[in-house]
Amino acid sequence: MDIWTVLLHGAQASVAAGFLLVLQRIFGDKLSPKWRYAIWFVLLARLIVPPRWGPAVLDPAPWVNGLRISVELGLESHEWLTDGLFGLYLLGMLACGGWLLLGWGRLRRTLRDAVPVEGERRKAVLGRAEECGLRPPAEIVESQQAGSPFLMGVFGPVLVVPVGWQEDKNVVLHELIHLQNRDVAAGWLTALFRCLHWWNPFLWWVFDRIDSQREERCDQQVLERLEGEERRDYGRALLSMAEDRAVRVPGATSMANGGTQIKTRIESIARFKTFPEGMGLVTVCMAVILLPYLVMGFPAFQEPAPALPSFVQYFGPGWQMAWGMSARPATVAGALDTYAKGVVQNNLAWQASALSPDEYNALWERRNQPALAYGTGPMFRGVYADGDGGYWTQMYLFRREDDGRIGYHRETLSIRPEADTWSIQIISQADGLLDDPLWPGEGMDGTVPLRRRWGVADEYCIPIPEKPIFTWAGECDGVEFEFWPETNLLVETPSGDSELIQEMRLEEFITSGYRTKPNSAAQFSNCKGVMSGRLTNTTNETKHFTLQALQRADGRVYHVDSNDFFSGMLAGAELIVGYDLEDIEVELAPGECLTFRHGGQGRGRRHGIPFELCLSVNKLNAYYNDAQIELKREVNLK
Amino acid sequence: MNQEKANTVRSIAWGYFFLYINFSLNNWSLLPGWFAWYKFERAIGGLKETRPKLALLENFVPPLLIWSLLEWQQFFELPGWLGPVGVMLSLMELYFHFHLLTELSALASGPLAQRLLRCRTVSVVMLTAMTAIVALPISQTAIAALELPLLLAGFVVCLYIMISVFRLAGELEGAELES
Repeated sequence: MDIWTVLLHGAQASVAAGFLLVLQRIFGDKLSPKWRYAIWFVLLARLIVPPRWGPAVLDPAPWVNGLRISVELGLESHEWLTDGLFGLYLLGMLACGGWLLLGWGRLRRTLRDAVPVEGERRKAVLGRAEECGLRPPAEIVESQQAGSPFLMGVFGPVLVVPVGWQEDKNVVLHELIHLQNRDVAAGWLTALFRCLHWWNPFLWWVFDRIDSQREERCDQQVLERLEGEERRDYGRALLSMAEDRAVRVPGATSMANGGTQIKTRIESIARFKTFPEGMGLVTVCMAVILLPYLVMGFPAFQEPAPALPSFVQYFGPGWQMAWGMSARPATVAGALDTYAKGVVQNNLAWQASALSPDEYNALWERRNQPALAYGTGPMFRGVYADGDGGYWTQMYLFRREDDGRIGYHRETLSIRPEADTWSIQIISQADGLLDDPLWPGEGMDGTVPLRRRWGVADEYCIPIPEKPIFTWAGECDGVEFEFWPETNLLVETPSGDSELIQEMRLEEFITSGYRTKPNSAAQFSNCKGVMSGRLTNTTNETKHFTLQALQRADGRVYHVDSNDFFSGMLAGAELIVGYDLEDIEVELAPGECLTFRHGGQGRGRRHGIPFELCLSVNKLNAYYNDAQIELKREVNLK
Repeated sequence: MNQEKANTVRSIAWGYFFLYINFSLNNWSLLPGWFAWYKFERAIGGLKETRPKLALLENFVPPLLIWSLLEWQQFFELPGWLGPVGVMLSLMELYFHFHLLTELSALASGPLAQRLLRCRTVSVVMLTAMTAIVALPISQTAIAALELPLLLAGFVVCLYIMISVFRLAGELEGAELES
């Protein structure tokens, strides 16, 4: 619990109260006072449930969060301020509670001189309770301090009447109904929330309104039991109390609640009518509908998710970050697209939207840094399952260097699920240059010897010198094997230098044009794959063998020369032009090391590529035989 | 007089037909929901003298009609920030059907009145479940799984309401002929 939670709770309760006020305004005379009052129980639920920081429409969380971030990250030492404010809040709460208890104690004290009402008047009150089937008060007393009758006490309710007061059976009925409805306890409850939200004048006004509607409900219940002239008498009795001092302490209910409120109630009585049976059902149904929305918030995302509003950039960095935090990405590709475009354009809101809260301090630290000079992309190299519900990937942004070569900025990222959204953690960063210029294409007809396949693959994957996140290594009969299958994925709408995009053949990925704004519900649009590897003969003799490398995922082996692979790996796949190595004849001289890359391309949409690699050497008639090599997977996150 | 009432009630039944039944041709809805609200609006005007409390619904029809018109053919997809407005309109619709069916049941007699009241209760509960379910903090798959039986049951209830209102119109017409 801290000052921000208090602020957010008050703000969210205010929004819920505001919504209920609008609802009451719209429904006007369509709901009876009884059910108009009952609808406030939704606010009660909102007040009891702790505040939520999650994204929602009509949610003050981004604003409170913005203030929090601006203060906490903006001040070197903020504890003195936030702790001090929280201390002030606690003091205010105690003072408010003390003040309300003092009023109640004063009222109790004035009753010391009260004397029990006996005889006919007592009998009349008890008779009225019996006649109407209502619970009688535990005690009836008369006091000189009482201006008008009122009820006090939750457990042993006492009806207090002015000295010499001549019994008005309608006024008695009003108080008996209060007793039946346990309104004294309800008054204590609103008093408790008044203390918790003492700093919020709007909520105090709402609580006043609730107290007033409690009286209106009681009036309605009284009028339902009266006929013709009796109703007018009741109105007159109420009117006569307009000048009386209102008893406004938490432990008491009184028919006289102040001139202004009485005017409203008289108007309400003038409009009195009976409402159709079953209104309770409608009200309960309305409350059931409202409960999840007002307690948990109106869902923030529709598909596709809207980009963050552009006006956010005009706010300070703390507010930008807070706004971003309130609109979390809905897909893995959406998180990556939002983060990458945030990095390229130095947009704090977009970065904060995608980054995990653990990264906020670092993001705040670099808030004044200039934007990265890498403006083309993003491209993602492999989106691999991390085995724990999340993914790893390497994000690449490109630029043309002065010498004509292509430079890249790489960030290794971990993408983790958070409820229905995704957030990113930065693991490492590096800059570098791509390998040799891309090799003009050769066919993928399977006739090209393994050695010559180097470079052909670069038609499919960008030649990045570093290894991707996963490599597989093993040894068989003196030959060391190392494989690093990689995939390049783009989201639907990369942005940047269109010439560079064309040169790198990234435009094949693009399905929805170039867009500088992120789409937090984006999908990967396309996938290009390369199987890279290195074979080393560590013996003194020439090795001849047949090599077969296959991909295995979800307990299946995928043949990548058909639709099979991508239909298994990508939702809505169209086609893949293989990248397995099937029945490749290899000859390795003693000590020879052979490096290769072999590529393919698939089209479809998916989140990640959680495949395993399996390898067999000297295949007989089956994919798995005695010579199959168990490969060990290594993770390279640097 | 009863003939007039019967015609008005029949137009309400047709309103329910347009509201609950949807045929589309090339994404072009042939039975648009907004037409239902138009029918309801006309019917309320016609029945107001007999059932004055129907006047309470008059304010609700224009916003529901406009909303339905905007949603027609997906001219307008509810943006996320308009979610609260959508919830408010759901509440208005809930109240509307509750009140309209209550008033119609008052025009009916015997078992048909009881049947209309039952329809009213079930439809209000189902509409509540359908609206609240979307806001629950559960996955989209779970929401879809919960929605499917509700939709099926809802369709049956809608048909039942429609038939009952048509029957009420027939009953009123029969009473006119008898008199």
